[in-house]
Amino acid sequence: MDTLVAQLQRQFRDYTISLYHQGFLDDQFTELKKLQDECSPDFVAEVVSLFFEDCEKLIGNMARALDQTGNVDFNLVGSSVHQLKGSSSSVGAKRVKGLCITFKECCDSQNFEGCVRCLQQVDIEYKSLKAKLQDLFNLEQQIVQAGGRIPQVDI
Amino acid sequence: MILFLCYITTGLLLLIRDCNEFLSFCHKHIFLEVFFAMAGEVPNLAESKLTALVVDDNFVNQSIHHKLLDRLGIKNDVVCNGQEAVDVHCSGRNYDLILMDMDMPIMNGIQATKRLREMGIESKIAGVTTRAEEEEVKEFMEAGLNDFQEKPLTISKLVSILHNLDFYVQA
Repeated sequence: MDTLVAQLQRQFRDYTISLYHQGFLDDQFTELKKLQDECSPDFVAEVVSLFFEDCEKLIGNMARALDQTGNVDFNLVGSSVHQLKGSSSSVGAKRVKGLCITFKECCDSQNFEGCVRCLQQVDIEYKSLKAKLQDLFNLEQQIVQAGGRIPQVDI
Repeated sequence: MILFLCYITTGLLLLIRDCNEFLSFCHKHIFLEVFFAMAGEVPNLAESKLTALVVDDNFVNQSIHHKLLDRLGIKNDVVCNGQEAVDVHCSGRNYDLILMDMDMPIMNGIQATKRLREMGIESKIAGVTTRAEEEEVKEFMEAGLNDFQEKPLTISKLVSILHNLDFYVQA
């Protein structure tokens, strides 16, 4: 019979793999995990938290810019999209990064409806990723509290 | 015949001397460290006492680049834009390596690189940006970069920068 730790570790492994296979995360997230060590055991959680703060700020900027009906500054929207693409790329937020590429194209072609659609999708996507990563970090905590080690997951 | 043998012996002695010098050079050079990094190990360059400056307006990237350099044992500072990079040098600070983002408010990476070179700053500057269009990279390089890497930065990309920029371990 599996111990609680073994069950949690298996759950953690399966969940991590699913996040990669479903396209939420890419290799860059793995690179972030490599930087986590005893000196900075919460490094990934901290960086990811900065990323989600960035998402809120930039999505707010984009929404305000797109709200200027008839007088939308697409360069301003595009600039925020470029920044979001950069930070999503840096944390391995694959779906968010992919949406930013489409969003940038809409900005470049001054496609207002396309931009509004992309903004809605980016907002949904980053919140979805935020919830999933929170679940992942919760699992890590449960493993540690049960006296186990967080397993290394090879993707 | 004797002259020929002397010639061969001299040549062999010179070759042995050059090999010894080369091995000594490698021992001091971080080349072996980089070689091991490329084979999967992370080099520790703390002994080299290299210093670096991260220039990036994005907090996520600041955090990651700072940590990457820390991991390699390179002490580093972080500033938020090109103007701050210039200001920190005006205050007398100097760095072996500058990781320069391109798109930043107030003063971007191209402007900052040009300004630093005009000031006579000879630090190695590596441009790091998500922009990868040939013309954009060319403009950035021509501003005075020594190397360029596309974001996102990873350990292996940073090691590649150090290798390309020929950093030495101080004896």
